[in-house]
Amino acid sequence: MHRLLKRQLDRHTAGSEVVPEPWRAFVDAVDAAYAQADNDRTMLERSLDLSSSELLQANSELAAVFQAFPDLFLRLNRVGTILDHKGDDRQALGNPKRRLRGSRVQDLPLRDVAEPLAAALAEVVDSGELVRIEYAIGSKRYYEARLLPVLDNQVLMIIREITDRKLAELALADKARDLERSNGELQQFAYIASHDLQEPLRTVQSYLQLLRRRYRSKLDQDADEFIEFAVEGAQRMRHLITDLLSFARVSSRARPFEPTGLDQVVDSVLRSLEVAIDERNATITRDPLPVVNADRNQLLQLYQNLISNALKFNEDPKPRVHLGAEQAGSRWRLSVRDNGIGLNPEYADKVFEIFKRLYAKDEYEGTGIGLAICKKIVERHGGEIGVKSSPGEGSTFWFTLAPGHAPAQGNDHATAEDR
Amino acid sequence: MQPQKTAEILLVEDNPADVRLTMEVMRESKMRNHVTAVGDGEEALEYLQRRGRHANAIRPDLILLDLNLPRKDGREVLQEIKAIEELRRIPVVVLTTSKAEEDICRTYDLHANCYITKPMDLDKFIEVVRQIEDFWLTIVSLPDRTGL
Repeated sequence: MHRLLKRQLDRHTAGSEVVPEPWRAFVDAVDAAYAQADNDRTMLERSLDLSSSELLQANSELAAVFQAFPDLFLRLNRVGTILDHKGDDRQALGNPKRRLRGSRVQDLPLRDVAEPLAAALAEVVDSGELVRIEYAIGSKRYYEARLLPVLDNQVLMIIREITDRKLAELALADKARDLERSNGELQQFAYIASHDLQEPLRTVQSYLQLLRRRYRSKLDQDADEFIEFAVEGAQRMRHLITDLLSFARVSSRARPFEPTGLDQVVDSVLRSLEVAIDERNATITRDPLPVVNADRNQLLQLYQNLISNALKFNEDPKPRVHLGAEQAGSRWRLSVRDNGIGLNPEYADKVFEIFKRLYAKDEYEGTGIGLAICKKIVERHGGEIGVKSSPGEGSTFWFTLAPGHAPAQGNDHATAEDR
Repeated sequence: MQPQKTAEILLVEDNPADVRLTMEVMRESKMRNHVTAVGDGEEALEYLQRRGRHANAIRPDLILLDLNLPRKDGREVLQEIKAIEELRRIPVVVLTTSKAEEDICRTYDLHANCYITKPMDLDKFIEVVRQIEDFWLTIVSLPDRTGL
């Protein structure tokens, strides 16, 4: 019999072990209930023991986590009183002399710290959602504070120093700004130089031409030659300036990209090159050309330069130029292939450099700026440009452009038949 | 047919090289002409209004006006000429190096009679000057010289 039941029975039966018959069943039931209760309690105690040891374990892990992080953890109430903290980065709080527990974030010594933290606290209390802010102490040390609402109307504030990251970011932004400025200045310089050079050059050129007009064959043969050289020099300089100006204009006169049909672009380029094409007895063929996302004027210039080059650097009695288009991944790879003189693969990159000429002026005239303009245009469109060629084998200049809309599958045939 | 009169032309241009060049080109012209050049906008208006040292100026048949001038620039000169009743009928040909759309619109808004961009090439410049003379001094009918 359970000891508690026995003690009670003893009190009523004055030590007699005898339970009166009518109570027997009742006493047995009570005894069983006591035994059950005992059993339950033991189980409960055991499980409490277990969970408290788990809690201890978890607690010590959490403490280790807090220690492992450089962050400062603060538990605040709604009005900003610090209830508790882990980590002791007092510098992050502006080196307060008072103990942290019990003081208010609004009363922290530096305004650089107190103001942003108070504002963030108000925001998290108001919104009930995570708030992330950055603040700086004297633009020397940078911190990030994250505040999140926790149970019992409290707020957990986690402060981390981000000085290194921030300084790197600021340095990068500085560099980007510098680069942008110097780029802009260079652009401006190229534009102004070429623009303002035109004026005096016009004077030089006009008077040289006037000299030639009035005095040709009236001085001696030397004078005629000198004047001729001077006139040609001025002419060449004018071409250079015009080309330099159009090189600068790739950026300064840039227009936004829009879906541009290359077929229409090529149509109008061919119209403007009609005389040259007829004179050279050239044949121009093309694949169905796609719609690309581009600045139309610049593509006109691009095709104009590439097709003119294909005709210019061509000794074949029947120059042939083919304008190709194929899909390459998500982009279009466009090409201008000719049966011209070709070039040494060694120079494949050099031809795109500004003022780079592979031939003497009396072989093929030009300023050496056309392909540099092509490269600048393609690069402004986020594409690549290159050339595949060998001497006597013709050249294939290719470039990539983004489609004006997602190129539809099997659309090519339809386009080919439409044309 | 009346004997050909000498055409009076006022050239408003600050660059001496351009002034001389225009005069040289005019000299080659078949048409008898007399060019007076003034170097800035103030002087152009003095000349047209016969003020100061230009008290004896002859009213021009045609004005060739550059846009970028010291002191008063070509646009202001144009605006003033077209605001003065006795001067507004004189054809003003804007002859400048600018190709800017903005300049072109603005000068027509100010009632320029025509706008011409100076060609870089001498042969073309000669051709342009000849065309200006032909058109403004021979082809078009202008009111008789009256007033001034």
